[in-house]
Amino acid sequence: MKLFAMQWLGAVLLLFLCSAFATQDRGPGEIEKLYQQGLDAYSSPVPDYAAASASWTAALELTPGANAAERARLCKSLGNVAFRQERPLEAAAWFSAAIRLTPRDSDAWANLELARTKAGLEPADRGDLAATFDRVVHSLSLAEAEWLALCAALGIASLIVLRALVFGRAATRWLALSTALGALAVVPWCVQLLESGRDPMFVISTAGVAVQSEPRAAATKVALLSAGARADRLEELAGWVRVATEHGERGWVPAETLLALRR
Amino acid sequence: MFNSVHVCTKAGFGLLLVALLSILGAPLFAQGQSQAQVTAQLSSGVVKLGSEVILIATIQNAAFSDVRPLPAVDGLRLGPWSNPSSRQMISSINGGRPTRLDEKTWTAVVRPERKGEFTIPGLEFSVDGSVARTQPLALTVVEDLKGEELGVFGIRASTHKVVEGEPFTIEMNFGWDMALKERINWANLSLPWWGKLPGAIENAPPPLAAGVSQVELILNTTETIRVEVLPKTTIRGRAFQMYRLVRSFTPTRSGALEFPSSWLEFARVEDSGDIFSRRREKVESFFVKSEPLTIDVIELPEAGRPPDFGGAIGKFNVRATAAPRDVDAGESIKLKIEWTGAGNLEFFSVPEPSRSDAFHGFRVYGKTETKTFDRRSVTYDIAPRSAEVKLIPPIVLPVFDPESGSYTSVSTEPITINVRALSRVSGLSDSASGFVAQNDLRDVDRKWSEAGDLPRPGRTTVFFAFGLLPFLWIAMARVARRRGDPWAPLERRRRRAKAQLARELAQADSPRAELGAVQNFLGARTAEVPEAWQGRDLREWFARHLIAVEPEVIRELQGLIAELEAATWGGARRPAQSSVRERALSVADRLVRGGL
Repeated sequence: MKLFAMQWLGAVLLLFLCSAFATQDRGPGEIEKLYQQGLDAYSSPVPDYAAASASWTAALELTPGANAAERARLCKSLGNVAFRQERPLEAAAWFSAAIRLTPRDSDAWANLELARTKAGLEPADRGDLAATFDRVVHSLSLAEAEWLALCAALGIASLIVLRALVFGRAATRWLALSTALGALAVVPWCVQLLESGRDPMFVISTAGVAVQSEPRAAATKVALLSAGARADRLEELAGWVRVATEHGERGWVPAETLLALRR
Repeated sequence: MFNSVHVCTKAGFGLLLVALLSILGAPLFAQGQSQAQVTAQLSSGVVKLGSEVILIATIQNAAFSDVRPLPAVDGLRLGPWSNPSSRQMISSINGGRPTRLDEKTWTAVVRPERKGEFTIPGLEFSVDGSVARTQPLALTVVEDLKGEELGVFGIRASTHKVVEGEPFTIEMNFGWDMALKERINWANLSLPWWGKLPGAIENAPPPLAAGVSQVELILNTTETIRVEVLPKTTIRGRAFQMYRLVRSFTPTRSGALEFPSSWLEFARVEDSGDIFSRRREKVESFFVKSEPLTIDVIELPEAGRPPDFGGAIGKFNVRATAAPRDVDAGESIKLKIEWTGAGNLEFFSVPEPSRSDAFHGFRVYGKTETKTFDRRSVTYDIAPRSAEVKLIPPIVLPVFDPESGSYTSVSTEPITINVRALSRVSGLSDSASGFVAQNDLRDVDRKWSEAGDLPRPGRTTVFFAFGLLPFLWIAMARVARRRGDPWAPLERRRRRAKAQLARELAQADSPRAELGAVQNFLGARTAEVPEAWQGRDLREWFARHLIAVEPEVIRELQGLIAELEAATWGGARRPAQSSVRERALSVADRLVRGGL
């Protein structure tokens, strides 16, 4: 019986690892070339920010769905370009996008706070309890959150097996403790799972933007999104994006007033 | 004659609460209140028999206050208290936060019934839930106030109209006829306002010039004071021995400041009595009084008041010196500013260079101050941030000029300095070397590094792992059960039932209790009520429920129950308790092992 259980567990582990490594995808060398072009334009004695932005945007378009660290680096660089071009709101949006990909990147956080300050927005990390909890929960990337949840599940499974093999109160207590810790470890993944369906956009228009009932300039204004506010993208038409605000209002806003945070 | 006490609460908790409320309340009230003050004074320290004096009590800055009954003094008729009069003022002297002053005043008439020297005990007042007491007041009652033509007592103020916060002086000149010189050996100065005058702070007295002769006189019959001896003066064609006393005050609120009549009593005192009880007696007394004096205090005008006005009032001169003046960047310079002149030199707030844009090129480390009645000195410790600084900018003090009735300013001259750049700045901090750090973006990554992503297990994998856990739990529970897990719930219930049986048997004092214990055990293990086991055919029950218990055990259990039922209901002899316990536990153990 014991041998059977061990074999069964080994098979499950093998299955996990196979499925985990099956999703790997590496970015091509083209990205590096474009990044270097952008860097040359950005670093020249007379910086060509437009050229740098074009190169890095092109590089970013080559990497959808692959290598979060590289995409985060490109988002950060685009944020620097926007900041240097005196567009702090857009810079804040790019830095926010970078942080979504690499949540513990201290450079991105520092630049985000600087850009938000320059844009007249309140800090991204206000330092209160809710903000701290939010930052802790979002401090892991999706991959890290998945691994943490998986480790928690494996830990609980190990203790279930251990408890069946080694009787006693200690084993039961360890199992209860690991279950509680496992539940906590799953929180970041659950939050990311809940948010995975969302496509957040950042308002980069300094005057804010009106949410309109229909995608035309003369349509009724149903809500107002202030500069730096976030809204979820629902669908897109040429030049217009349909969004849902944090307060639940839905409507259309001009596409050029928003920047997507999902990269 | 005139005293003041601070009100203290009796209980420590009260103090704590007040302190807490003060801390919490301070930001809420822009116009804070000062500590409560209670004062009492007589309108005159000397009165002729048949006349009256007025007792005046004033309480400032108390939320709730009231007078208590007046004390009884033999020879004086006191009171009753009049109804109080109240007034409120806002004071903002010294450029500080405006302070609200609440003042409540009561008066009572004092009628002497005989001559003599009286002491009115300290008066009691209820102030904010506590009792405040003043110091005793002295009153001299005489039959005849003779001596007006033999003495002189003049009192004059430097000005009769001042603005709130503007200092003024009171000069008293008094003396007596030189013809009495041989007869006078005792003098008492009766100043009813002496001490803390309501609405004014007494400044430090100016020092007497060197070589000035002084003499000690009695003040208000209880203390002594040194006064200046003036040269002989001719008044009304006669030579007088004159003395002078000067005092300076700063008004703290607008309104009238009243100095009631003061008296000078000069007398001849002789020793009398025998060797056992010697005392000094006045054999001849003369009195002379001054006229009452009123100073009008007007509010500082709001119009034209500079935002950085620190409460300086008067006419000032200023002088500035700096040393050293040839320094390295970051090196300390002592900038000494000295204000002199006529005004409230002791009370204003000095300018803060650290708040001035003109001092942007300097780092201000702090300041030290010294104050006297005629001089105010401040030494600022400043350091130039860089070699580009060439001048110490003027220090500007906003001043209210009472003469012109307008605000003006007194400023120092700029001081030229030579600041040398440091050739090696490694030992200095950034700010000290004139470098000011600024916040800026963190740069883009200059080198492309192919940072690999952490492979994702995938959502499905995580779901699968967690979905597997319940099945794993069930499977492992079955394994544990088969292996006879002593901590399985069933095993724990069995142990609990056996322990309860042992406990109940130990406590049983009758066959009925022992029978109940056995039935309880069977009930607990079969999920039936214990009474169901009365008269039951055990063999048939165990056979029906397919519990593999040895027939021997069932027989033994049947026998035990029959014995206990016979002893309980049939009047049979009770089996030995130890035997019942031993048999019951043995049967229970075997039943459990058999699967019950």
